[in-house]
Amino acid sequence: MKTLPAALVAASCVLALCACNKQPQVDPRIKQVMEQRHEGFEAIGEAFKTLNDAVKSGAGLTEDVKKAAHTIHGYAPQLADWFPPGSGPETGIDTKARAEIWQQPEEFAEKREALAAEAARLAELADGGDAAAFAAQVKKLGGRCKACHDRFRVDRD
Amino acid sequence: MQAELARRRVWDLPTRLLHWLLVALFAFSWWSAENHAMDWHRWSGYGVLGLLLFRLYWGLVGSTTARFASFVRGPRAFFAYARRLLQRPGPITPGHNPMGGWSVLALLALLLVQVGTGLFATDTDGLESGPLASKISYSLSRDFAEVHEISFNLLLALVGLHVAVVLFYWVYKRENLIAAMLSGDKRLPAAPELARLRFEGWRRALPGVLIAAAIVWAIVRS
Repeated sequence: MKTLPAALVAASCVLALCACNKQPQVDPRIKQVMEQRHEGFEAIGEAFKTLNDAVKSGAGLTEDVKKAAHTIHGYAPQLADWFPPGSGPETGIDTKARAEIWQQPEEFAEKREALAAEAARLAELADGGDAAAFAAQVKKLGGRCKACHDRFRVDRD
Repeated sequence: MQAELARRRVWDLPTRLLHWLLVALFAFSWWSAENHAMDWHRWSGYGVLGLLLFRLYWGLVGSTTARFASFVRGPRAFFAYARRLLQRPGPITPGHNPMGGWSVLALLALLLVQVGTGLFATDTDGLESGPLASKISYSLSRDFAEVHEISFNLLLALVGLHVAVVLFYWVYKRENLIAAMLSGDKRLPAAPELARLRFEGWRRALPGVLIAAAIVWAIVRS
């Protein structure tokens, strides 16, 4: 008789494992937003590298630099649409977004808006002629990225 | 027979210094990356690169036991040694044994991959990069970062194996390789191989140090 409970436990473990291995059932709209989010952040990263490279080499406000600044400015307000409820780690889809984003929505919104404001200022400075002020703004914007990532992004790479 | 054992020089000072500096910088690089201290991580990487470049130089013109030509052995020697690995006491090898030589080569090669990819790597935010990442695109730079991570995991495995084998020699074979790497001496019986060892001094090491430093400097400021 002792084997029956053991067999039940084993069977339920197997079932539980099967359940975990199943493809997560996620609303296709949510899935789409998550993909869009991922691509958007990659595009921001790519543009930001262009800016950091230019600052490092002292290239000044080239066309590439202006374009990259406007790319970031274009994406920054979109963050407001990239984190709908239900698009976090609970989807089972690989994401670095932490559940805290939805648990502390005010703090997240505050950081998100700060980013959008700094990005707008960046685009403004890119069109101006002050390379030093632009370089300082790149640094400031980087700080905004980092502050939010430290708080709301899973630390693995 | 015991009376013949005496402390005899095996490792020169540059090789020992290099070994322990690599250990320290490897640990520090790991720590600084985990803690996002990327300025420190870059400096640590430059240090590792300098050490590796010097090691390549020393492997060509350094003391006998440090030279690739003396410790990189063919498969025959490798398997002959491997078959007697559990023998106590084992065959006497004044420098790297025929298996250990390959471990040294693999560690050096992987460390070169590690610093080499680090030079070109960038993080996902385009925020922190190696000194040469600005020469290449974001996506290529991210590929370098990926290899940087894979090679680090391989390095951890290889370092683990290295330490495990050193402990095996200590516990099972009663041969303390750590003390030898610290003092440079091993207690060995007189053997003709020992008499043939040549040890080079700082005069030979200095050009290698300068070459390594110049290359690292050129990369850092590029």
